[in-house]
Amino acid sequence: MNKFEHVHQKIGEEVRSIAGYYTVLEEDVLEYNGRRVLYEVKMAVVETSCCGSGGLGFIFVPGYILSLKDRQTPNGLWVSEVERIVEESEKKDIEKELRRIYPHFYEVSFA
Amino acid sequence: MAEGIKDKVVILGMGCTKFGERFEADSSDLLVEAFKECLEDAQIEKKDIQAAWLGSHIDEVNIGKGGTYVSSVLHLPMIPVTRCENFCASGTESFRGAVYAVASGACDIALAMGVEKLKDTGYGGLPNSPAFGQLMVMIGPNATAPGMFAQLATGYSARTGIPMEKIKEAMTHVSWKSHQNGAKNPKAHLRKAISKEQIAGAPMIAYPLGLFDCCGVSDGAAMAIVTTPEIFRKIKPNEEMVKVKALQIAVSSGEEAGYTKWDGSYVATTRLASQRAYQEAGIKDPRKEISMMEVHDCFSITELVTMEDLHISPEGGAVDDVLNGFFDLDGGVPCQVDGGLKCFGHPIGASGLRMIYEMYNQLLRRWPEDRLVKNAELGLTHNLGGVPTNNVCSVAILGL
Amino acid sequence: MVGISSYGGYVPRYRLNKMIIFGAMGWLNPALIMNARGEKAVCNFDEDSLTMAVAAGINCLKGFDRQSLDAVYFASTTAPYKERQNSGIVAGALCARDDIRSADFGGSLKAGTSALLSAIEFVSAGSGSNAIVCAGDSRLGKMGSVQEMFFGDAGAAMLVSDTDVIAEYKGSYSVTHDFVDHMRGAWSKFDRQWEERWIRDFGYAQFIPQAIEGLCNKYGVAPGDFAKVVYPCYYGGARKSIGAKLGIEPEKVQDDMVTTVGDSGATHALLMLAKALEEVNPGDKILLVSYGNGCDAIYFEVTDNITKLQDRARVSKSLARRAELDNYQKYLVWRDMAPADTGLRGEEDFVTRWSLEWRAHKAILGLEGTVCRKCGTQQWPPQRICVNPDCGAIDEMDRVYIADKGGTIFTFTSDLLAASINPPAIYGNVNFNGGGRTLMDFTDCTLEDLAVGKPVEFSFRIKYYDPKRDITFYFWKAVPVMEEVS
Repeated sequence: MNKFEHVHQKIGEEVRSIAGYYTVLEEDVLEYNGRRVLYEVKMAVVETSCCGSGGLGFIFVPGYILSLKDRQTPNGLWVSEVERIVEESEKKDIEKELRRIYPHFYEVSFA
Repeated sequence: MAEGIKDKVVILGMGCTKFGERFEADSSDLLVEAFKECLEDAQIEKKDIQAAWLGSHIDEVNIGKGGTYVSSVLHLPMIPVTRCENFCASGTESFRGAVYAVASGACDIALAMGVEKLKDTGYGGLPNSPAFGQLMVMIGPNATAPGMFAQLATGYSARTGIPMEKIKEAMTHVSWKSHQNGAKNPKAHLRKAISKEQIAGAPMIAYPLGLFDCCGVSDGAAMAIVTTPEIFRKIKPNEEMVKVKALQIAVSSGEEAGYTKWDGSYVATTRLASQRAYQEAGIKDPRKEISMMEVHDCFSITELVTMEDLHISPEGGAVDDVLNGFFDLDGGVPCQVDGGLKCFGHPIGASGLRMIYEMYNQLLRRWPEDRLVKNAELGLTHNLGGVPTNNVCSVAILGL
Repeated sequence: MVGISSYGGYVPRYRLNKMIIFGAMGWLNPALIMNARGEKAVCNFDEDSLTMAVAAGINCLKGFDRQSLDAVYFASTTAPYKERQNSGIVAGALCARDDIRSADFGGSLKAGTSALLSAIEFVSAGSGSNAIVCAGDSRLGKMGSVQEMFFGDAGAAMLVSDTDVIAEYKGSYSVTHDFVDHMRGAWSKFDRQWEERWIRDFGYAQFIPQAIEGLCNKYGVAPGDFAKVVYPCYYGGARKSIGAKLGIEPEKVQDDMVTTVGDSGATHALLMLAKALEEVNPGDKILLVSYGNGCDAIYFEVTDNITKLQDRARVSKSLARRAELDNYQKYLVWRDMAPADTGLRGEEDFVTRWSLEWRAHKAILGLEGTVCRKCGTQQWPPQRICVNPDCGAIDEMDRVYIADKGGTIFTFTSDLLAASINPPAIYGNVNFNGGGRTLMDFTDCTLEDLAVGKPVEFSFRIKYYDPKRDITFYFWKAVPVMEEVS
């Protein structure tokens, strides 16, 4: 039930809204308790919002890797099979480690 | 009881610039661009205009105060020109001035304009301006609109019991729909369709609002020339008429912000303004009778909540309506058919007139098939200026 | 009988571990490692000496009728204003009457005890029944200095009364010396000190015994008679030798909190006294000595009333409510020690309109609102026309003090786009207990601390600082009420 297909976004592509844009800077893998955690390092720039400007780094964690990039979508994006992380204690540990590696990142979110 | 504005005034012509980051254009360029289109569409000469109103919000950039700038730029023939300001409803407010002038019999032909030139500040966002009195400038929080509207989402979730994840899903749909519609519109600020996954992958700006739930800063101008049905018939004997069916404005009483009865889950002024507008237009069942809408989607949550506040969706039913595609271009009541604030853009003073411009052209079936609302008879526009606790709401209904 | 009837302490929530300072500045001054034990209390970006003094004053006045205050004194060496009476701002925030005595004390680290003695003499002379002393200090040492390691921020308050006294005033003895161990000129931001050995051996080790001996001779008591001997001195060696010289048992010497708070300047003697008062018993004699260009030695005796005072662990509670400041650069920016970019939007000018401030000063300083005589609705800011749509009475209002009433969170958000030197800005709508609602900043919390319906209390904070005109402007913010730390 916690297994799902994660579609990898194109690294470096600007995904633009009227208020700003975000982009995936890199994808990486964190070793945790003998398992491999997939995460995306992203940044957003809010430079054209109606109400202020800013920017931030944020990290998205799809989950534990079950299979990595073993197929592609019709439009050429890689797909991995991952397991959603549900244990709060595991999330906490992983977030702590990611925040150590990436200080000042605004948000670490999980699928 | 006053009988209201219904069918007394019609739109003779309209104009609207391309919205966007118009670094190449001054306020005067934007005004001339819209005026040219408007005058051509109306098939009259400048000297026929007897009074004019102009909506604009920000004083620090753009045109400053008063009516002199626009009158000098367009070289209007020394007629009454009034600048009006009422937050994001400023454009609709100028329209109201022109419509009421014609309806009163004070003049035959009047001009309503809106312009905003924001991309001269040197930064994203808008300059702070004292909207709630000088005392609040000194002691109020340095709040931003996303922060204030984000609180509407938590309030809405608390009242309806709908979990935030589902509300987020509906907000994503709201944003996705605007991008779909905006992509088809050559005058829109942002013309790019985007997938729901890409929207969901954006970061939070003010919980629970993400990057794609927020609107931007655009330059632009829009205008309308209005007259009586009789004069319209003389100028355009064989063309269809778009009539003003209702025009309502409701302004917060201070109750939401200072009294403790309001529960924070809806916008009180929208509920009242729309009720009054339906009564003025003689509409009994808005969900069935309204053909299409342009609403103030400054944030996705605003659009979601507005669907209930306009009495289109039942209480607590907006999330399902949105997710069922009821407001999509091919849905029951298409909403943000031109891309809305989020994609068409939001030059504040022009936005109300831009929405009317879209309704006007849809009603006259002037748009290409792929973005035309089928069998449109009644269009509603809605602006919301200020913040959920303290705001100005305008509702206009236009029809054939 | 005249003496202390209540006390209050305030230690700001942020604590900076001294090893973090050493980690940042040890490259420049490796000898700092000697002073890098423990942590220091650091006031938040929206706090200063005055707000900490107010916080301690509020803490001190718990359960007391603020309208019975006859004098409000403020002591600090880092007062925000040279001209504009700081104690007047404090009095406004404490909701004292207008017909009171007020005065600012500064110029020396013994300003706190000078203010206390003045309050005692004010009440002893029969000029009034209740006088409060509120002290606060936030001194700065240069980056990588010894002072940066030693100095900490805190507030303390003492209420002096002629009834219900918990510690009776028995007498005092003062010495004054123009002994310049530390100094700061009128326009200087940072403290400058002379050689440490001289400060320790010639300063503390000489003047403190001189003051204690003077007091003991004057009143016929011995240093050993005191259950608590309270004096600031952050040189451990000097403390030991002073104790030995005067025959004071080490356990009777009050801990100087140098590794938990740091030296809080003019506040410190009073903060240590407040901490001592948490632990004393009826009949205990207390000796308080301040230090700074001389000394004030003050002798108190604890009365039976001490047992009736509620919530005595006031400083301890404040100490226990803590958060790590794990970022030295943040400290520098908050104290304006390094220029930080706040964007073009931050360059917008803004004028404080004093005539407007005066018209609203009760609402601003005391969070005073109005309550409708017709329908009883409480509202803020003060209204002339009742906000209740079913009432709408005009000019039927009574004034009401709201700052001590607390409230509950109605809505809240965390905002990344709002300009702040402590992003994200956290704010929301608060419903006041008793009625009324307003949009307010939240402070001393994270988003996780907030929930709709959760109780908040109000804290007097810096609303903004205008660097162009050197104006510090104050207003109230909401702080979520935390679970009691046991």
